[in-house]
Amino acid sequence: MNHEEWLAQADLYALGALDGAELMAFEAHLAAGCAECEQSILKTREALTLLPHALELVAPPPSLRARVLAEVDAEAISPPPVIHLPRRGWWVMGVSVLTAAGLLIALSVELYQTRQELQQERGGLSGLRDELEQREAALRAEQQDVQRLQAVVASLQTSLAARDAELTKRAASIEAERHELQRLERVVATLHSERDETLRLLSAPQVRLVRLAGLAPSPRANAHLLWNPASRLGVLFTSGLPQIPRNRVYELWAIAGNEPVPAGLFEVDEAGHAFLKLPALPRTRRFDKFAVTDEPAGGVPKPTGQMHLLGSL
Amino acid sequence: MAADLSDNPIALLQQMASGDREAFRRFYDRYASLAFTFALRLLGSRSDAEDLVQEVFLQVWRQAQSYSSERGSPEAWLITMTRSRAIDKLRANRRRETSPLSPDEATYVERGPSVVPPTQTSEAKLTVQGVLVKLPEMQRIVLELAYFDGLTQSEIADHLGEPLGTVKTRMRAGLERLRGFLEAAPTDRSL
Repeated sequence: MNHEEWLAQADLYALGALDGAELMAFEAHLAAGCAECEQSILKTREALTLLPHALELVAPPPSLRARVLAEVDAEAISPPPVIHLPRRGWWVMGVSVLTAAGLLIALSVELYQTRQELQQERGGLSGLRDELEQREAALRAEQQDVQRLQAVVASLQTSLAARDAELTKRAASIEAERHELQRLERVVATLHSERDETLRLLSAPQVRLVRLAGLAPSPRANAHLLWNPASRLGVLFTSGLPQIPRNRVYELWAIAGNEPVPAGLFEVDEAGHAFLKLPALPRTRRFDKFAVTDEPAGGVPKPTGQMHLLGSL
Repeated sequence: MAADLSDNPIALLQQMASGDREAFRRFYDRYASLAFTFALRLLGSRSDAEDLVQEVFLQVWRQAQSYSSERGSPEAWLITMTRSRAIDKLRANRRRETSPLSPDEATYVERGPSVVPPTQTSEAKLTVQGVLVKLPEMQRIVLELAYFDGLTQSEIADHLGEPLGTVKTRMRAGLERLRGFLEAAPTDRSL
């Protein structure tokens, strides 16, 4: 490219229209140091100022002037426009380039900036302290919540343990009651069985009634004996027999001729009543009399005590 | 005259470099309307234009010490900064869109510069006049698309359906004419 062509590019560059590879090439040409092209650019830029002059002038609002002047005034008070100070280590620039006034201004600016930074840091520190206090308060509140919850849990555990104990106790009680019920059922079954047997005994046609009268020790006592000679079974009902010491018991005797055979032991209630189902007696004997004596507890094979009742078939 | 000297933009920039806010106020009063008008034409929105002007003048204040008259007039410096920032915004916006040109822009391209886009009509009723209207229409169109709308030569060729070489030729011819106008009436502008 001859220099006329470079100058043609300088026009377009001054206009801002150059682009792409042409722009890069021309900037390289300028960087290499072409005073002629630089002068041409300056001249073209001067000519281009005619274009804004060709526009119909529009006055800016007075408020813009006030705004711009206020900003310049503010800048004139703070850092001077000529000297651009780095934020730190401004002294390395060399004090010799600063006038005394400049130095004073620079110091003021530095002091002002430092104060501003200090205030900001204080503000930040205060904010952090506030935040820390808030977090501590929140933590304390959470700890109290945790303690409350722990107390509730402990209370629930105690209550649960008490309920467990109560349930165990109730289960044991229920078990005991179940056993008692079973026992009572067995008793009832036995009673039913005895009742049936007694009814059977009483309803038999060969049953005989033996009346036993009170003797000298118990003159107001009496008894009835239902006796089945065929089955050798019988039942005794007494009345008016006196209470006897706890170490003694009434004993019934079935008498065949002059030989008494033990026929059962019994006690009486406060009215002297008693009911005795006779055990199975030997079939080899023929009993014709029945008597009641009081004997040592546990009974005896032959009568030893006083006779209270006596009756014959 | 002393008054003229005090309003000399180069002197104002030198005073600003020493922190003179009064110099800045005079500089602002001298160029704010031009910068605002230009920004409004570039961005098409009054609020965007205000923001842009604010940014540019603050840049002037902050970088006054870096200005060198050898690099052009203060006005060209200011205009270049304004355009550069505006084009950055326009291109960033365009990258977010699916089409390089919005429907309004496409309409504008078809109708030519004498018919301004509806948004700009409602914002500032801008019209192109003076030097620009003296340019042949196609030269004016390509210059406006490049300078005011921030399109590159390839984008302009695409949207006009013209060969790239033709677009370049028209742009260079238009620039040549502008330079000619500038040389013919340099005293009209404050260098």
